[in-house]
Amino acid sequence: MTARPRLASLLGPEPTDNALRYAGAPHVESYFLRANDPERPRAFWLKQCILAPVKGPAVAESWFIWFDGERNRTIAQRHQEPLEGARFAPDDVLTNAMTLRLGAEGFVKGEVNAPEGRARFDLTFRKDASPAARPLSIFPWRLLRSGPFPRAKPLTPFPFLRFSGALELPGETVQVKGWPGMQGHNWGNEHTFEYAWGQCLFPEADAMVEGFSARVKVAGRLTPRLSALVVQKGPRVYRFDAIFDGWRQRATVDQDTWTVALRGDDGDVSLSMDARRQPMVCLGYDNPDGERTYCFNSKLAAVELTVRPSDGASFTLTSSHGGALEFLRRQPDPRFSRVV
Amino acid sequence: MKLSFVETMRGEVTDGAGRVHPVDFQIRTTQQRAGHFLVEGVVHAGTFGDEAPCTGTLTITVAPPSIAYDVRWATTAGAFSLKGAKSPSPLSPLRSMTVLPVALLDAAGAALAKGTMTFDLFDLPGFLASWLPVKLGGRRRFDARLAAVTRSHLLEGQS
Repeated sequence: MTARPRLASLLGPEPTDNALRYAGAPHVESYFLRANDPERPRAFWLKQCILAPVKGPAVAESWFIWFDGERNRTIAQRHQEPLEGARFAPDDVLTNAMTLRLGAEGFVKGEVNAPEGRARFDLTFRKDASPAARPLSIFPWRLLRSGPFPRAKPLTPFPFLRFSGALELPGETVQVKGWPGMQGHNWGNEHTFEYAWGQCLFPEADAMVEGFSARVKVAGRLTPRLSALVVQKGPRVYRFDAIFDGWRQRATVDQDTWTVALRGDDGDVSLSMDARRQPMVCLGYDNPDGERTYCFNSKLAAVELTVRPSDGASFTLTSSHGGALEFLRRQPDPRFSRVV
Repeated sequence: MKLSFVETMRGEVTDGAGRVHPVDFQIRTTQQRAGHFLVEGVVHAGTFGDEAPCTGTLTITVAPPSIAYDVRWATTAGAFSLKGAKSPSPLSPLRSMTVLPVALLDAAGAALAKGTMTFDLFDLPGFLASWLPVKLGGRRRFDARLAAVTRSHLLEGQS
């Protein structure tokens, strides 16, 4: 079998958002959760991943990352095991380090041994009642989600979850009570060449935003930076997803900041995300061909979002430390002595 | 039949201190008499009015060829206007019809900033459709936007 998307996959019903796409190498796939303390600059990020290299056996990877902006520290660990011993079944993802039940009501529990010490997590989550919690695909067409281009696909089956439970971290236990968060699902036969990706929830405004600016390879050549953004606010969805319309896109990606301004039929939008003063981790994302890329991620970015709807009054939403901001780059960053 | 259309112009103006301010307006023009249009719409001008309903005039003359804009608005920051004119020329038809040199003036008519605004050719289909005597999607969205901004502006003034 091959995981390479085939045109046949464009026919028939589209798989459910969380359906496993893995069908053999080369392949990468990730189910991930994150949530933020609504009161303090603290957040967690959990991932269950598949890496199926061109050469060698496929592996399952479980990741735990804790961000603490008050102490300016992170706790991060990757657990790797043979995929054949793990279970990636519909809605259930089990490894020796982590058990994840996906869905509108799910749970995640497990433990990892990080260099900072042992971290245990036992959390439940449920879909928020907000209309902004409905599933989201940044890609506007099924052709992009199921076709051969681009090679990496993002979906957000649950953009707005509420988490409860506990995190036992070295030196502290964190009670999680109704923290806002989300669950995403990515897959492809390689990682995107480079990108900035961001997501932020604005629970008080019943709103969320998710978007990216990325460069991808087409026939061996790099595209200009392509951007898209989706804003869900109450019952409204503002889509700025004319991905190939470079004329109406302005994106700036710096070391720890990302700004993007887009125009479209739904109006104008500008998003600014800034993780310069927040803890960040560097994860090694291995591609099936063996090449390593570097993921720089903070879940504590400051966010400012302004939307000027074509049919309504403008609104601006801000978050001081609620933004998930991720950069994928081809080179390591000397600021990070450890690549997780 | 009176002519009417919806147009969006975007650009930047630079004040005396060298600060650059993005500005844009989306206006609906309604013909009053030959060459003379009344304008209403929404303007964004940063510190000179982040989002405000605007009114004004658009005047078209043949000799000399000119399309003159006078867009006015008032916010808690004061009353302002954007004035400028396109000078259509057969020598550079595209540029002369899409680039608008403007001055941003205060209530007394003193220039606060100067710059240029442009018409985005991506907006051309919507612009042409807005001339039709029927309300298509773009006109309906404009009406909804103007109503929402006017309502928001009134509420801000009351608070």
